[in-house]
Amino acid sequence: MDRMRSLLNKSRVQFLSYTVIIILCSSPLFFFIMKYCYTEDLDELIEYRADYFIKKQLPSFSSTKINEWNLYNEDMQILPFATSYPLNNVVQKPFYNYAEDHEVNYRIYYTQIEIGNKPYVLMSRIAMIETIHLIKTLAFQYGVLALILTIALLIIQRVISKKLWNPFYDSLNKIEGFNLEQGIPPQFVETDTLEFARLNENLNRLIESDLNAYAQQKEFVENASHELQTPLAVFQSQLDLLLQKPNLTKTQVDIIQSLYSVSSRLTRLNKNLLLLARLDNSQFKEKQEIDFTEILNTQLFYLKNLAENDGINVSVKINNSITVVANKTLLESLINNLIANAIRHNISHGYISISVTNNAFMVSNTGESETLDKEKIFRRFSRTSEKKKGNGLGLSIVHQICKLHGWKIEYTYQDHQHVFIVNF
Amino acid sequence: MDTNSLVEAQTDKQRMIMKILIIEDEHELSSNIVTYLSYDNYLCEQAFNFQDAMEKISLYSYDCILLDLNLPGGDGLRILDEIKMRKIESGIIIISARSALDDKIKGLKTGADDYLPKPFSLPELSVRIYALMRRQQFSHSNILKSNNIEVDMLAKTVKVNNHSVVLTKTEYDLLLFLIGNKNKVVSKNAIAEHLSGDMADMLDSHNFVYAHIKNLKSKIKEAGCANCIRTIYGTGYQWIE
Repeated sequence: MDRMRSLLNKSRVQFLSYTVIIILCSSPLFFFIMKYCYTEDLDELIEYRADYFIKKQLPSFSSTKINEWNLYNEDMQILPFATSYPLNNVVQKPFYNYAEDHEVNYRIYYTQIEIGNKPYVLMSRIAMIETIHLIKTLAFQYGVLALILTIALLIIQRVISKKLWNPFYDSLNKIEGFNLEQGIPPQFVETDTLEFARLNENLNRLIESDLNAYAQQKEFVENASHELQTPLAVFQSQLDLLLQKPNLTKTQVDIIQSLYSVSSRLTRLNKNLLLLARLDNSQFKEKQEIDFTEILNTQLFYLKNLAENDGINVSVKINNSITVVANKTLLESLINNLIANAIRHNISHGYISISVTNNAFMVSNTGESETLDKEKIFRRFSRTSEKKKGNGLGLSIVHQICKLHGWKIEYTYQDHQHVFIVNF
Repeated sequence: MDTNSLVEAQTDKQRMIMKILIIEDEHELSSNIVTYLSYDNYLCEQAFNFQDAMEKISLYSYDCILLDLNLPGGDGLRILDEIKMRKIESGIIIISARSALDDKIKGLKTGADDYLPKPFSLPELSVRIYALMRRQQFSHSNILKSNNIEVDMLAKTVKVNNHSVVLTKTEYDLLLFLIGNKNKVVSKNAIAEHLSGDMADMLDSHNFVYAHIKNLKSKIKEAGCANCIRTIYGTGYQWIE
């Protein structure tokens, strides 16, 4: 793809190139016009001189003065009559020019006069500027003019464009800064340009419908998972009652057990969806100062138990205590999800190391797969393995919790370990 | 009166019939709770809507009230207010869907005695009622007796045939949970949830429950209480009294 250029830059470059092309193309025309006007001017001059001589000097002129006259008037000669001269017509002829020391084009006018009843020819001529000189002079003048013109046009174009496109850039910047999750619609500036007004109007409509759809979706997820809780409770209570029946066979109990598993998976999924929906709806406003290490130790009591049952070694290193301002429920959920994740995706006889250093909480674990896709791991329902235990929501919950509290979560894969670090 | 007869007297008291009001609009769930609890010495009554509940509260007295907050005809929280206003001394357990009210409900814990979010297991509900009843009516007694086991609830110690048995915290909780649901079959899932709370449903906790049951069984068997815990094909466990 071509290099991206800004609209103003693009229009400036195009404008400039067309201006240059036009100026260059019109320069020969300019030259010929100038040359034509100049020649006309010269012709008029030499004709005038001839006429002036005929009117003022000729009546008192005698043939004896011819030689003297010719000696002092190089460009106004009285020549003996000959039919070879093109009379009463300006022609162009090269002559030797003493000043230039080479032949130069002249404009010449021949006309017939009579001195003492003898016919003579009066020659009136003038040296032309050499073409190359003319071109040089013209090019210089024309160049200066073209330069001034171009600069002026560019400045004008720039000022006008900037002013014209200003509402457009304003809208562009505002849409760039728009965040659906924050839900604050941008306020576009008023514009009297029809197209931009249309653009803003349509943007407003799009954003509004986006916000509505987003709000509805969030609400829907929350309501749906909320409504699911009662049927789930009925389902589970039926199982609890069924298990009380005397003389159950092994097959029956196995079915009950598998239904229990389904029930608990449904419950977990529902709980996580509800938690995510509530995070999205920012319903966790209540925050307090919490001793992070204290909460961690409480949660570790159960988590270690669960991990060691799976044959996973857990090492904990707490270098210093951290106090964070957080929602307690969410902080617990963050710890649980991160560590449960490390247990769930571990290998048999693997290990987990948990550490608290400075302002960071780190969980790293051995695992089967190679490095995970950093882009995808925090996305909802993006499971990296087929292990059925997870529901693909744990890490997105962690991510959302971090986002809500303004913490930074990072994932890296180093020394064959998956490492998650939360920076408070 | 020596210690033994004191304990006997309390055990007699424990056998008294308790009245429970279940305020829950979901008929099936309500009936399941009734069925499960009536294995015990509980007398259950049901209210399916707001008016029903208010009427029953004003007419009769209950030892325990299970309250769902989302009721047709009115807000469950108003029932709670009514109970507090009338200075009714029933124990109250809120059984409600987890919602945006969560935090508010937790704040209301001063008004209610306990809060159990849906979905919950019946053994969990049962053990909560059991604990509440003990707190309410036998607050002076800290000894729980079943078969030849004695649990000192205050000191958190266990004696079998007057010999101390050292249990871990988890085993102790497990024992209380089983005794709290005595003669009923308790599922592995219910145990896991009771022991590790939210963590239970995050991880496969079957091995975890199995390991603790095994340890508890062998410890009390060694002390002379064999066959107290019956296993139903590795899925359910039953405390036999």
